[in-house]
Amino acid sequence: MNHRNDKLTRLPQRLTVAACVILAPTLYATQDIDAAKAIKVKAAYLYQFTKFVEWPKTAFERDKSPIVIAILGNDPFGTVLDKTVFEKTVRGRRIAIVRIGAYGRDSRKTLRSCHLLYVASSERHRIREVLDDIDSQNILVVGEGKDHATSGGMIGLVLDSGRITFHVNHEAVKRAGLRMSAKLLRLAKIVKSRE
Amino acid sequence: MNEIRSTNSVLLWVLVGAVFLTAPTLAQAPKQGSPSGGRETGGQDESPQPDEPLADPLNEPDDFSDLSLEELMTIEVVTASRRAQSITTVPYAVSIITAEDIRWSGARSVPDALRLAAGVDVADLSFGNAAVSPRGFHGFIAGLVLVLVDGRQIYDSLFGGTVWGGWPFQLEDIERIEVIRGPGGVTWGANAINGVINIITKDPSDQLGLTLSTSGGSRGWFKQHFGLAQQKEKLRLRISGEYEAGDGFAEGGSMLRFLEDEYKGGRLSLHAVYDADENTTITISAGSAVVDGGYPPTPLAGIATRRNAAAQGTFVLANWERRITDDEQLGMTLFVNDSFASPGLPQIDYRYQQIGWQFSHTVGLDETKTRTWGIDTRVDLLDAGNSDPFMLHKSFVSTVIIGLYLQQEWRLTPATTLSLGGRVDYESYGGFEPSARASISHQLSDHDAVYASVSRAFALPSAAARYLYIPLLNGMAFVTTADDVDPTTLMAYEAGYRGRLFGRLDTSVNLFWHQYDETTTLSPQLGPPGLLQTQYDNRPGDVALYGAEVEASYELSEQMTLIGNYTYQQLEWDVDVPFTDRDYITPPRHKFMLGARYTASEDLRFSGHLYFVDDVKAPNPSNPFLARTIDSYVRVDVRAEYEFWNDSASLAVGVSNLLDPNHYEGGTLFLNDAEVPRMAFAELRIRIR
Repeated sequence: MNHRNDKLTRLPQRLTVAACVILAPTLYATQDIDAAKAIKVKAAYLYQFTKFVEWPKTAFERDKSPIVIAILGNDPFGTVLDKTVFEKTVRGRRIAIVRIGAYGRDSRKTLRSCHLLYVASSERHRIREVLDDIDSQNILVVGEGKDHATSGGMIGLVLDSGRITFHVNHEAVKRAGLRMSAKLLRLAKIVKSRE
Repeated sequence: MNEIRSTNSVLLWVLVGAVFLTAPTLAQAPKQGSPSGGRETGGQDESPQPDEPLADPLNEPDDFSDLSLEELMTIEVVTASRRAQSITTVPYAVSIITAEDIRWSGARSVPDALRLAAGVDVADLSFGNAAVSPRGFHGFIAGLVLVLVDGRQIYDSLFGGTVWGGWPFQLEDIERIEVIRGPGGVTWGANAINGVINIITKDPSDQLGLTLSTSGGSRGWFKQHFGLAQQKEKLRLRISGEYEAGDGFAEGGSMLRFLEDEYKGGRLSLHAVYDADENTTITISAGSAVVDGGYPPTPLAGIATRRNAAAQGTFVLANWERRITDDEQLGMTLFVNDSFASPGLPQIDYRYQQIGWQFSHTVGLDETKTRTWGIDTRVDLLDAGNSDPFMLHKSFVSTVIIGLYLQQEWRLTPATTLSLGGRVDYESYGGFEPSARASISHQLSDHDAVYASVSRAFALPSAAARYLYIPLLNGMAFVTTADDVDPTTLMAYEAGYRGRLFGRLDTSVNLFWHQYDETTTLSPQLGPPGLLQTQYDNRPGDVALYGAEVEASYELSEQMTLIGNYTYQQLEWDVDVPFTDRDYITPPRHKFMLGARYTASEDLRFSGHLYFVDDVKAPNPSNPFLARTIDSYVRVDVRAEYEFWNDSASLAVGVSNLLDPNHYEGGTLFLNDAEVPRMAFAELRIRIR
């Protein structure tokens, strides 16, 4: 019984110490920077997509040619995407990043030589032109918002209840001659192109 | 004394390591090898002008490149002011423990990780074994919870429940643990009565390369782990293994009280995923664990007959999933379990094989209706013939159970969903047994939902509960079972809320009322046969468990997250035989967890978790007729981790049970006492991609 009382006496003391230990780091807490977190999540998604999408061998010049991610429009990633794919390999291929800037005549050649095209928000309104331009190329077109995949794009990164999820237009992926893993499809919301 | 010296030296290393690791961070040393200067541009003269705030990687925590798709989908990215929150309208009380949660917590085992979930009662009984069950009824063998690993059932053929020490759980390979509190009988069948613990392992694509880790700490504990994952075209493959050993929790003892729970265990797993085509995935996995020791034998073993506890578990699993259309999927799982266990009593030495098969079909009938149906079966072959002198009426016990279920969801309005499900199981011993569930969920807004449900589920008596027959004291006493033990059934009433409160607090609240029928206990009575027998049987009387579970998460900033949960449980046990005669620990009336996770810099993070568990009554191995009180305890686990070599390596140090040299968490008739000690640890982890 004494043992029990000792424990009870010591309990508040222990709780106080424990609370201090656990809550001490809150003193150093800083402001929210959720936009930065969203960028990192999107960058990680782009990397994951390269793992779960298979390009035909003819999409690469050589066996060891890198998978090229092209960013069309104003680059939201800064250095985050570079860091995300740094020293990563997918099926023995490194990942290279190319920034194209705004869509225009000069950018078309670069655009057609990539494997994953990320269409930034600044070029969202030109998605039709872009898709027409790369028609029948083996390019995975990733963009922002619900409209991207239903407008003929292939993967749309969608803010859904505070998390970033993705919509997949499977028909468009198949038309591009790409093979998407069942796991990716299982996790995605599958949508169709608007008529 | 040696132990004290050992602990002190580890603590010293922890301090030295912390100073060493913190120094470069305080100096704000930029990360080497960053490719940020190597940007390529193609075809454009003008530099891109970002249309969104640029990230500043030097001031950010880890990148997310190591996270799986599933983990990425769980990351909250919206500022609190937008009042957005992910909400699932699944009408169950669900907690998800992710790989990140496990890493932050410093958990040493799966039961340790399960402390993070509200409503799950966890008590370490010894180094190698724990009592685990959602909503009470936890004990050495917790028979009212169903544990699954990638859909494969871990269910002990002899005792029922899960023997945690005997299977190849490797924390490094776990993607997440889904804890469903309350009955899940409609989907998972028998024994999913108080809850389901579903352990899901990682896709090998999330661990590409070679992972090596080595850990060590107090009480001679050490663990070496390796994992190799490769991806080749459509095939993803992982092989992983580890060896763990330690002196155990307990120390000292006497001639009559053997307290050693020295542990040695090896685990090996293989996991292969093959995308046969865009719509078909085949998964094959296999593994084996061999354990020597892990828990101290009960005093009943006696001096002359004492021997080491040991266990071995081997499995093979094949899973096939096919997407027929976007609204229609098929799934099939086949698994084989082989397990041997000797809990240190000469009378108890058994082996069993299980073969399970599960099939499910989900189809969206139209935009408002979804139907799932399935059929599953499991065959158990138990060999207890090697026990000496004998343990069951029959040396071999074989049982077959087959179940058929149907569930349908109706979206009554855009925000309201009604779900009805029914299932019937046929078992070769007990005959037909039904399960059912009706639930309704309503989404109050994009970020708030409520649900209510009523369910029926059942737990089958284990083979031991049906055929137990152990003569003791030269036939003067027996442990036996009644002729016809009925399944324990449960009617459960639940209601819950999930959403965001006060703009920043992600919360879930669940209320439940469980009403049990045909509960079973061991109860001593005068012979025959012999002078005394302890008989296992159904007991009349009202048994109810009710309570509330609250979980909350508060993201104070990008760097700091606070988490917590609280559980209230009240057991009404109006049965002649004491609850603890079932070898269960009483549910603690109050328990809570508080956790803080702080990312100090890109490479350095700290975490602390505090657990409070109210006092309980537990079976007493020293006196089987009188349960003992286990005092309430506070357990604090702290951990620091530093990543280096461009996140390819990390060094973690920590202490579990920081404020308490040792405490009991529970007890069982089968094992001797083992207090949970304070333990310091360090872990070095290297990943070569």
